[in-house]
Amino acid sequence: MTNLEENRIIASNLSYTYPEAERKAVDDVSMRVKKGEFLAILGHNGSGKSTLAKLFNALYVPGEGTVWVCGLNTRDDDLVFDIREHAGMVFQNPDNQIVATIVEGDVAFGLENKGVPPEEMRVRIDDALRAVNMSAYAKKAPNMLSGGQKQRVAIAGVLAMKPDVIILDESTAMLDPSGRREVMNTVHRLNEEEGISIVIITHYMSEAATADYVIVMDEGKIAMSGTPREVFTRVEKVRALGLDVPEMTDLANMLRKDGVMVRADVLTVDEMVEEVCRLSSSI
Amino acid sequence: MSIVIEHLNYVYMSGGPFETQALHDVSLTIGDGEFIGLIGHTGSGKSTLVQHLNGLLKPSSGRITVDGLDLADKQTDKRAIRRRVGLVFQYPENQLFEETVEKDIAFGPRNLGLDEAEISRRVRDAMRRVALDYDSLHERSVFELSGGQMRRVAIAGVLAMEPQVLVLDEPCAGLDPRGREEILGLIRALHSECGTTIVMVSHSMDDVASLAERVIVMNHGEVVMDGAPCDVFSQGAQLREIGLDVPQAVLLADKLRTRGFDIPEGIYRMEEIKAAIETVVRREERHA
Repeated sequence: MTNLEENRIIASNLSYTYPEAERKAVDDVSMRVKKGEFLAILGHNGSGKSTLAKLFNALYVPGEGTVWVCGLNTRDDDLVFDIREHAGMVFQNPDNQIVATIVEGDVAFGLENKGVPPEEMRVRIDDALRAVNMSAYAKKAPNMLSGGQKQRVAIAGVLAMKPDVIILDESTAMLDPSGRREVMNTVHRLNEEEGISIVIITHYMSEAATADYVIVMDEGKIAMSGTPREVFTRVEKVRALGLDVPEMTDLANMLRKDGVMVRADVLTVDEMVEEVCRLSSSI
Repeated sequence: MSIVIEHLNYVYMSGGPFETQALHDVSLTIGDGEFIGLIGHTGSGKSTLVQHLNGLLKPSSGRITVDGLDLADKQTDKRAIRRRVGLVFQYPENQLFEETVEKDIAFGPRNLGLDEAEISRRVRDAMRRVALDYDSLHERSVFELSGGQMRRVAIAGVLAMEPQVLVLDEPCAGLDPRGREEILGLIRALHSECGTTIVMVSHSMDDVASLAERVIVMNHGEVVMDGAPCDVFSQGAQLREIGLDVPQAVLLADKLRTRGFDIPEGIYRMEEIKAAIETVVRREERHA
């Protein structure tokens, strides 16, 4: 692989079948996560997207094909812990991934296992909590936090390991609107300011609309891929895959059917406002 | 049939160091045939409130009556309450336990002491309402089904009790877009076709906007807003301050007004903002 420098994760002809399953959960997928990229993976339940994510940080070993994480082959048992440092994962349920009785203890968990010296540990914990805006809660008990705060602590735990990629597997699914905003703002900031590649797996089309690149999975294969604009403009195809488009894209589509010719690739409220302004002034 | 809540207070871990007042002087009347959207950030007291509606939690103080039956009264048969008010928990599929779909749905009716013919009728009826095919699915193991199907089995189990009021705590959480549409569609049909009173807890302002006729907003254990969706969603700043949001249609309407467009007040549904944009653009066309 000559392009390892530019790609954080490379999957090549990757397949995975669960024990005793008839069908491949992931079926001959080739893709990559570039350095500094914000990637969204979409797909209906059972489409293979979470399986793919678990193959990305060596929770599962490929049945066929290969996954390289920062140049490390996930088939190599000796590299598993290195791989998980490079590609950290945050899961759906905030209550299932916190292990310690105070917030900073939870962030320290991975560092302790790795045997990081205490002085360096202190620095890394403080930096990680600051990066997710949770410094004020360092000594608090995790069970007193909101869902969004717990997920940010989980992100801090990953961040303390200085990862190159953070994978979030439906990490906003159980959160309220402000919790979702907190988590999405946090990962976007880490992506923009620290250059960490982000992979989000989500059922929220509005979250996918903020990504650089979108992959849609169906029956274990990549059914669509492209920028959010390229993918969501194909409303009928997206719907046929059991998904939806962002609400503003849907509205643009309905307006166009009625002869109000806003752009078809509108993704956000602000873009819709601009389109209405353009149509009104150009007449 | 209505549910009347008067001055309800509820305290968790009373007397201990972690004593928390989860509900604070809540008074509400839920009328027959209403569709209520209940919103509030995590920890605002929504789930605690809905668990009072069928007697799962007992008020620390205050009074709740369901169809005239006082929940605090020891004479009141709890089964009579649960027959009237069905509660669908968050992630209800986690509570499925029987060997087959049919047995799981039949569990509640069987506990009511109904005869086999009536139980069978109710199971078939409940499965039809949640769009699960009886013939092909009734003997299947619930654990062989997809996530969306499992959730519909769990809802069918509550519907088989034939409640007049159905309370759903985040019924779409964790489902993919198609699964969400299916669940929202069946809730809409229960309300419009069977006249079932619906109380739906949701984190999705857009789902609440598209379905509810009345919106109740909770914050720190209190009801802070209660009214028609257009009135509640017109208070965007207050909603954001308490960790919530407005539907996208409301946000778009606000931003268009700021740009000087004549958009009617009180718009909160996608169809309404679409019509308003069409009016604005066509008016400009006529002027041109």
